[in-house]
Amino acid sequence: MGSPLRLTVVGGSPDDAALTWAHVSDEFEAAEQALSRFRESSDLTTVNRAAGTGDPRRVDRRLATALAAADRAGRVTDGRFDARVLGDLERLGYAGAELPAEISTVHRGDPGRESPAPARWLSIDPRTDTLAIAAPVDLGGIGKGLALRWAWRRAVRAGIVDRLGGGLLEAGGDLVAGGIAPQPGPWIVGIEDPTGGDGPLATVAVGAGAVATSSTLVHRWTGDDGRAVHHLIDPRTGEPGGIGLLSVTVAGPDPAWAEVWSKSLFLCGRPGIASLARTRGLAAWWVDEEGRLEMTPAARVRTSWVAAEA
Amino acid sequence: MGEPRRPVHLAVIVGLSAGAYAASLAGVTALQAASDQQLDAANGPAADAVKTLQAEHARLDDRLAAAASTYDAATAAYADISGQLTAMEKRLGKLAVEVHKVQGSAAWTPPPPPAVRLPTVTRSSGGSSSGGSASKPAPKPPPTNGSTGASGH
Repeated sequence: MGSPLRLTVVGGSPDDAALTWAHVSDEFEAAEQALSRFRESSDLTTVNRAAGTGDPRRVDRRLATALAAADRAGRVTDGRFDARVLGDLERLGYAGAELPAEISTVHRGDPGRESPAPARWLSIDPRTDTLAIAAPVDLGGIGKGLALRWAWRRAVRAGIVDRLGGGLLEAGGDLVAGGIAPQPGPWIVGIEDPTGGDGPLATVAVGAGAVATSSTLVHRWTGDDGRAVHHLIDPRTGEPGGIGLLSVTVAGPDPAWAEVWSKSLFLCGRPGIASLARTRGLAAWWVDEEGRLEMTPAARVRTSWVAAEA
Repeated sequence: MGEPRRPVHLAVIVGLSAGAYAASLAGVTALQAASDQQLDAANGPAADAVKTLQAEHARLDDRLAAAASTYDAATAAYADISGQLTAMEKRLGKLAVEVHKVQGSAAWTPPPPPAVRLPTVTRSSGGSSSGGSASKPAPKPPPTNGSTGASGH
């Protein structure tokens, strides 16, 4: 996933922690092999290279699950989340494993529509365990969330919560936690300042669940035409989205869906994020271009400290 | 020649036949009455059950009518609240416009006058003094177990 992994274990012995770490790192390696668009040999690269041909491929169950989740996320978010932006990312210069030219230039954005209805692009045959896609996809964000979900599940099966006490697993800015924290009370997670400040802008209390952030602090570059671009692509335009925002954080029970919503809310931009986040009842925090932190009522309940209010 | 003989035997035969018929009819009627009584006795519980079902059906009908009435009331209340929420959203929209105007006005206010330098104040009881500068220390964040922010690909 191109993200540093960090595991905190509360309770148990160093051997217990090492065993849990082995489970987590093994799961992340398997997820990387299935879902990465940067690996030449990954299942996703294989499927992307066959995109649009209708030629079904047998893949790891993780990729089938991830593509089904991405398909569902498109429907749930009314098309704000769309994994089929790989062609746009490649066009803007954020290349992964090499794809055939006619596939990598697929652009399915429709600027004329406020909220494009996601078309059916995924075909899974459960009888043969094969699938085919109509356009190449990028599973970056949701893939990391799913890897966190699966790795955490393995850690829980290994006893990180019931037998050892508790733990927190971080992967490149997203995290999942459960069980007892090192200090009395819940786990405390800081929301980083996307303007580059030293301390967090706020801290969030997490009993058991996940927190994910979509931000333009990393993966931004200058395009061929000299424009500053980033990796969060609005499927409605095929261009970088999130006007007026620097980062969006979402807390929820599952890291994959926290990722889906942080990205979808980010793409709403400053004018639309509050309305959508409140309508969906999400616990969401966002930082605008002036560095101001805003949040929904559901997020305020989980917020244990705010720099601006300190 | 004597008097012609009367056919008395025919009358006797007719009488006997009528008697036998009457007796058999009475027997059959008695048997049928007994059978009807048995059938009635057998059907009694079923008839009672049908009556009970009819009563239950009527009771359920009443409860359904009551539930429908409650649903109607809830729907009306919801519609009322929806209207209020819409009105509140409109008021919030107007308020947002006003706030935007105020922010725009604030941007055009003249710069503040030079800060007035206050004299040093000495506390008589503690003996310590505070200077004129009152810079607020940066808020110290609480310790955290992890952080969320810039993400990988």
